[in-house]
Amino acid sequence: MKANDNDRRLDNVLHQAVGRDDPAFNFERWKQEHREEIDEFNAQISGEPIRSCRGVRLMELMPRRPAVRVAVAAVLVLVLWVGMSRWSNPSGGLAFGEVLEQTAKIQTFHAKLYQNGKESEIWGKRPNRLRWVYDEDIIEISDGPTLWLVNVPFHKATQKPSHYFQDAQRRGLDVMDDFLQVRFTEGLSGFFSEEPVGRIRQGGKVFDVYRMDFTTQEGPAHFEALVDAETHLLHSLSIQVGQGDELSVDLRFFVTDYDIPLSDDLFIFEPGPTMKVTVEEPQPTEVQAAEEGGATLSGRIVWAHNGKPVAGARLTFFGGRMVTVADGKRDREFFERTETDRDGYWQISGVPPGAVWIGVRSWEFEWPAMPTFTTNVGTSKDPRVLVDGRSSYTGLDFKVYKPDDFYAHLTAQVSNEDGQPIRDVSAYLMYADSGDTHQSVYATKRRHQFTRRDGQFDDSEIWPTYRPVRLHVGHKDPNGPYPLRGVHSEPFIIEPAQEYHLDIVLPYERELMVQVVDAQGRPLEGICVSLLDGEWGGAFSPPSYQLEDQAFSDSDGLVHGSGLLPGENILIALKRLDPNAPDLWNPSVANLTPVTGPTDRSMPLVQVTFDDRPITVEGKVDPGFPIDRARVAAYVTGQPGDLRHMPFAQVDADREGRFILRGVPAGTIRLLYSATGPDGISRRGEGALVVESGQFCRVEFANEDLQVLSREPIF
Amino acid sequence: MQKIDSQAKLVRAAQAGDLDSFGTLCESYYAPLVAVAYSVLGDHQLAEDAAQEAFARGLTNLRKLKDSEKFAPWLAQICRHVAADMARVRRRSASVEERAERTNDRQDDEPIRQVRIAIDRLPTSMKEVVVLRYYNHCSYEQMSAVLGLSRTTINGRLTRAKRKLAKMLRQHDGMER
Repeated sequence: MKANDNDRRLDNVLHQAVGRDDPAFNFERWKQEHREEIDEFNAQISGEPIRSCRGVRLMELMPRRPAVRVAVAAVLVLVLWVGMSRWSNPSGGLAFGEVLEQTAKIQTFHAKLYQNGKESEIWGKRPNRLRWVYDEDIIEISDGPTLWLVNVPFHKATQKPSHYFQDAQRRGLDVMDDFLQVRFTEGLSGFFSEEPVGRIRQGGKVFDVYRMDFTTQEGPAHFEALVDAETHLLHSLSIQVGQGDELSVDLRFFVTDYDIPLSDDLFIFEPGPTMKVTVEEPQPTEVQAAEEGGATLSGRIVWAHNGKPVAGARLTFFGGRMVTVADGKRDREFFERTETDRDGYWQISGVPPGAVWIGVRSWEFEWPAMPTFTTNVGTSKDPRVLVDGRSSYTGLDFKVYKPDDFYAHLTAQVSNEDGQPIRDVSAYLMYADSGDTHQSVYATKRRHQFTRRDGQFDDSEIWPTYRPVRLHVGHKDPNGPYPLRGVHSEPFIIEPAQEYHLDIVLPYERELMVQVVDAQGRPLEGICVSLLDGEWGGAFSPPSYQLEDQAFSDSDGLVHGSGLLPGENILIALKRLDPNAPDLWNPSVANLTPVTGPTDRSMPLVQVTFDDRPITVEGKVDPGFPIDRARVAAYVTGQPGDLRHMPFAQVDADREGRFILRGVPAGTIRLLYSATGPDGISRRGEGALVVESGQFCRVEFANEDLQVLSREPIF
Repeated sequence: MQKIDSQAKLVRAAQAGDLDSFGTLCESYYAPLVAVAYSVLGDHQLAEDAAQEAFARGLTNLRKLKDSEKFAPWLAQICRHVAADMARVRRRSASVEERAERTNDRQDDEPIRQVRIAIDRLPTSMKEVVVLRYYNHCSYEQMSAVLGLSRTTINGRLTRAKRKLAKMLRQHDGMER
C-alpha cells in the first residue's frame, strides 16, 4: 500500500516536472515554412533534377549509405593513385595538375572493395562505361547514353539517364571523369599527400606508404595506401572512418588491374523478365559552340597561406546566351573547363560576349577560393566577369584559403524596440551597391535559417567580401499581431577570419494618415497616394525609396498608410491618373512631398497640397544609330548612375526618337533613355533636369548627353 | 494492428507523393516526437522546432524508407539527431543544474527542480521513456510506435527508470537533511 502511494506521488511529481499540454501542429503553416523541402520532395517524385539547389542535387546523386559514399570516394582515390603511380617520375612526386592529366589517360580499370566482409567490384571503361556492383542489392551501370541505377530486390530501374550523366554528356565530358572526379569528391578534403611517409616490405615487395587524414561528417577519416616502390603502381588502399572500436567505415581496396581489355558486353544492362523498363533517348540540344575567336581569360591561383601556386586546380566557366539543352531545359550556351599548370596559371579562349561565371576548386575541396579581382557584377562567392567576346582579360587571380583562415564569424542579436528578442527572423547578406545576395545567414550550424528563441544568429561560415554588404533582417510573419518592419544593417566589408557582431532592432511598422488638399485647402478625391520610405539610404548609396503603401484618396481626401519605418525619409507621391491614357499608371499630373514619418506608434495626420498644374517634357533622342525601340523615363530622385530608383513616368519614343513625357513631378528629376537599334546595338543616356509645376520643357539627348533647349510656362 | 496497417498505408501514399498523407502522419506523431526531442533538449520550444525540422528531413528522405511500418521509429531517430545537433549548437554542456533551471520560464519550486535534474541524469534510453510517458501522457501504444519497442520492454524500462529516479531523489533528500 505504501509502495503504491509512493508510486502515485512519484507519478504526480513527474507529471509536474515534465508534463505539458498538447503541442499543436499546424501542417499548413509547416508547409509554408518548408517550401524548399517540399519542392525537393516533389522533384524526387517527378524524377526531375532540383535546379535551384546544386548542393541538394549533388547529395541526391551520392549513394545512400555513408559507407558507400566513402567507397565512391575511394574509387576516385584509387583511380588518381593509379594515374599517379603509373605515369609519375619515380624520382619525384607528381604535381596535382599532372595527376589530373594522367587520370584522363586511364582507359580501363578493375578494382575490388572489401567492406565489412562484403565484396564489391568496379569496372570502368572509356568512354561512358561504368559498372559497379557495390553491394548485394544495387548495381550502377552506364551503357553509352544511358545510366542505370538498378535496385535488384525491388525490380526497379531508372528510366532516364541520371542527372550527372546528362550534365556530363551535355558538356562533352566522359562519364567516368564526371563520376569520379567531380561528383563524388564532395565532402572529402585533404586526402592527398605529396610524399610517402615511409616504406614497408610485404610479401617480398617494397611499398611506399602514403597516409592521409581528414575529417568527414562521420568523424575522423584515415587513408592508407601502399604503392609499389619499384613500379609506382597502387597495391592497396584502406579507409577507416570513426574512432576507436566504433568505426562507421572500415574498408579495403585492392587493385586487381588497369588498362585491361574489357568487353563492352560487361556494361550492357539486361532487365530481368519482371522489370518494366523504357529508355528515353536524350533530346538533341541546341547548344552551339563558342563563336570563332572569342575572348581570352587568364589568371593565376595561389595558396593564400604561403603564396605558392596551386597546380591542378579546376576551373569551370559558364556564360553566353541562354539556350535550350537536354529535355527542353534552358541553360547557358558556354561551358568550359580548364586546370592550372604547375605554376598555377590558367587560360581559356573562345569565350562569347556577356557575363561569364568562374568557379574554382582546388584539390583541397573544402578550401574556398577567393577572387583577388573585383568586377561590377557577381560576388566574391560567385564571381563573374563581363567580356566583349574578342579582347583578352588577364589578372583573373584567386587565392585558396584554409577554412580557418577564411570564414568570418557573424553573430547578431535581433530584438524589437522594447528590447525583447525576436525569434523566427531570417537574414541574408546583400551587396550595398548592387543589391545582389551574398549569402544567407543562419541561426545555427545546422543551417536553421531563423533566429533562435533568444533572437540570435550565429554563423561561422561567412564568406569575406570585397565590397560592402548589409545584413538584411526580415520578420517571417509581417501580418502578425505586431507587424515588424524588415531592416538593413549599416554597410560593412567582411574581412577573412574576422568576427562581427550586430545588434539589430526591428521597428514596429508605423502608420500615417495623409490628407490631400488643393491650393485652397479643399480635400481632393481620387488622387493616387503612394507612400515610400528611404530605408536603403546610407553611406554607400543614396536613398532608394521603396513603395510601402498605395491607395486613392477618399471624398475627404484621406488615405491611410502603413508599413513605414519610423522617422525620416518618407516620401509622399501624389498622382492624378488619366483613365483615358494608354497606360493608366502614367500620371497626367504628379507631385512629390518629403515628410518626416512618425517616431512613436501614433498615427499622425499629414496634410499635403496637390499642385494641379501639369509638367510636360517634350524631346528627342538621338543615340547615333537608327532606332528600333527607345524608352524614356523620369526618375524622381537620386543621382545619375543609380538605377535602383523608381521611374515615376515613362514613355516610348517613336522611330524618329521623339517623345512627350507627362506627369513629371516638380523639382530635380533624372531623365534616362535606353535605345536599341535593329542590329541589337543599344545605348543609354541620362541627365538631371530641374522643372517647376505648370512648365513645358523641351530637351534633346545627343548621344548620351541631355541638353535643355527651352522652358516655358503652360497657359 | 489495424492502426499500424493504416499508418503504413499513409506512409506508402506519402512515398508516392501524397503530401496530405504525410501531413496526417506528422499530426499523429507530432506530440511524441516533441517529447523525444524534449528528452534531448530540455526546452519545449526548441523541442517543437526539432520535431518540425525532423519532419522536413523526413520528407526529403522519405523515399529512402524501405519498411513503411518502421516510419515512426525512423522519424524518431531523425528527430533525435536533429535535437542532438541543436543541443550541440547551444553548447548546453553546462551543468545539468543550469539546464534544469532553463527548462522552464516560470520559477519552479525546489522539489520540481530536483526532479528535473534527476531526470536529466538518467541514461538516455530511460530518460526518453520517462519524458514520453509524462510529457502529455503518451500512451503505451504511441510510445511503442515511436520507439519501435514492445510494450513489455517499455514497461520494464519505465519501471527501472522510476526506481532509479526514486533512489536519486531519496539520496538528495538525505543530503538536504
